[in-house]
Amino acid sequence: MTAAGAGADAYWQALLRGEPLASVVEDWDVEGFTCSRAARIPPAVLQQVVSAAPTTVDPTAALFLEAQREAAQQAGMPDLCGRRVGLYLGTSTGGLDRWVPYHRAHVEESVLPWGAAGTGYSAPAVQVARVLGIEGPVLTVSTACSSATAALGMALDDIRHGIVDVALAGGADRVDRFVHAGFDLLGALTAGAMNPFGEDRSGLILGDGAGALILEGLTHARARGAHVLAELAGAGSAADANHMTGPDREGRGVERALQMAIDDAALLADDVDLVCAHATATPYNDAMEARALARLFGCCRPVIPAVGYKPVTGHTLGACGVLEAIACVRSMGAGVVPAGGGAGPQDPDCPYPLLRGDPVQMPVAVAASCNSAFAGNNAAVVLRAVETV
Amino acid sequence: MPERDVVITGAGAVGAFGAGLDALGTCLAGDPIETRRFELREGGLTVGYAGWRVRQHWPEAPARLGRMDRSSQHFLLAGWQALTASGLSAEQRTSTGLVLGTRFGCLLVNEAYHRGLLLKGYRLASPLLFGYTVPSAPAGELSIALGLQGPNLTLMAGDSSGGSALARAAAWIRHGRVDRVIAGGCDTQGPWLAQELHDAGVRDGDGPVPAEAAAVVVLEAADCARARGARALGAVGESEEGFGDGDAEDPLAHNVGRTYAAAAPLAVTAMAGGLARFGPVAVHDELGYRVRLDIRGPG
Repeated sequence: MTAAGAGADAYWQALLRGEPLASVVEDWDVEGFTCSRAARIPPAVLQQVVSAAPTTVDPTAALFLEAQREAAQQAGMPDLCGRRVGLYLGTSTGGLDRWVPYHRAHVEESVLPWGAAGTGYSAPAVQVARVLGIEGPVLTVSTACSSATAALGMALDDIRHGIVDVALAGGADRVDRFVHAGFDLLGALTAGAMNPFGEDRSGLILGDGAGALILEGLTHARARGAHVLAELAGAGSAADANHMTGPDREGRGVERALQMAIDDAALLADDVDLVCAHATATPYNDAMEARALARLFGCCRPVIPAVGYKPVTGHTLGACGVLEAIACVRSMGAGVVPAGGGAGPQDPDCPYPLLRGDPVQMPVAVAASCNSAFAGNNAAVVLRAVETV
Repeated sequence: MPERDVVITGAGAVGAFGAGLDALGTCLAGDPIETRRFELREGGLTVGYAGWRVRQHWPEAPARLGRMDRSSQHFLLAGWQALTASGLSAEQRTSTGLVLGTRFGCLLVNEAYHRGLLLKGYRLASPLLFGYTVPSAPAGELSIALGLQGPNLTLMAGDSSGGSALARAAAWIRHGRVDRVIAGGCDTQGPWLAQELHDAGVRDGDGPVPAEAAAVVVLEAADCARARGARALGAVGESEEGFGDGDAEDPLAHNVGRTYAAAAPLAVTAMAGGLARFGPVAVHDELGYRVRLDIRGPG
């Protein structure tokens, strides 16, 4: 689920076109904001998805349920329920759907919405688990913008260790005034277009997003005759231990997370064919990330392409990790890598090349994807094409 | 890689009972916790609320302590206590991981930030507060203060959040992802959370008083602990969690109050400190979600 609409195909086609999906926000007052735009899920699509979901489910959870529905259908696994199924949902703002109007009613001393009290960040995961009947681990991972990637890592661990047979893992987040204003106040948003690694980059644009992956052990998948799309081969995470809202300037945290994921997959940096970068188009994130990529992959020949997809989808916060992982899986299947947007000369302070322009035809057997977040959190995953499994 | 045994080599706990394992022990022996009654939109609610300040117990705490939210401050102090007790060197800390479990996360900060946004308008809302509107803020602050650069995770699973954090941390060590992890749970109280709890139906006299607490343990691979001569305060075995039947009662709630995400970690710190003995530690909340940890105390 992205601003391109419902479904992984709509998302993939948007990436191939490389055109930004953001438009002027109409749902809240953006007067005075540096950035008046966001890549929001079209209202008609959101309305359809929310209407189709049980009334006990908030919009963020409804988006994730819709992503789950598509993933489960593709996996041939319509009934995700029981004690051997786990749910691992990454979210940065989950639960605010209901909390913001509830809090506003308190501040303005108006009538309180029904049933809003006590709704926290784990509300979407609990709602989804109840709708589906998932009785295994139901965990909300909330490490800001690296949430979904960290959630994939947790799911991977639980499958490897026999805690669950099947994991529903991913992320979901929606932009609202709370978040839009906050990022704008921090000076992280751009008035122009996102241009990751670009000389004139000036910030990010926010976006709505939800994505889900069905994960299971290879033996389990083969035993039921499933069509395997890719292997989640490794995961890693690491803290910058440096600053709450600014990254380690040398990117040592994201480098450690990527290295851990590559090691976890029992691979070498040379084995990676594609890197999906966090690439927020903010000055410090891109510079540190490019330095990390240069240290990890700079000696590899030919140069391993790096891509950043946020210029198209906007920064979907806690959901971006799973959306970017899905893009990697699609690239493996199609033999095509969308460039993701951005234009003009690359900043010399970002010493690793980011693909620009048209999609590139190339085989992708191994992809690494990484995200960095507030509080100095970094997470990464490594995906491997099914032919090599 | 064969599975490794996981031991506890440090523990720290703070809350409405006071700061430190001695204060926890005194509370478990019968001393009451400190409480505060918050007057609310309709009625009021009494909660366990700490009156101590971090710097009373940690004079060398980071200078920027005053900029942190309440949860970060409490988690920081409990984490520092646990790390100090463990005797880990600065070099050993570098590769140490961190897992935080929290039920309410940053709701108190969200309230303050959003109130400013609503009442003062966009231009006067606080970017500093916005930076703390992530549940992972306490984990970020602890990693910065103690130089923890290993894997870092914040998770939420109702009252089971803290127990789940310990379970994840132990699994990381058991399966070789990392040698040491600081893990714990933290939920703090305040007028806004009292309001939310009251609106959700919590009333004075209905069971244990809602109370704030943070509890942290240092988990370590047994072979690593032995190699550096560290004393094992306990051991962490297998765990299980999920929805389903169960009536696992928070074993300390009668004394320390209902501490939500800190409940299971607090019980583990009490065992590690030789303050209490239980079988497995299990927590079950009103959502029907439970976590169960197999813990052995010292000896």
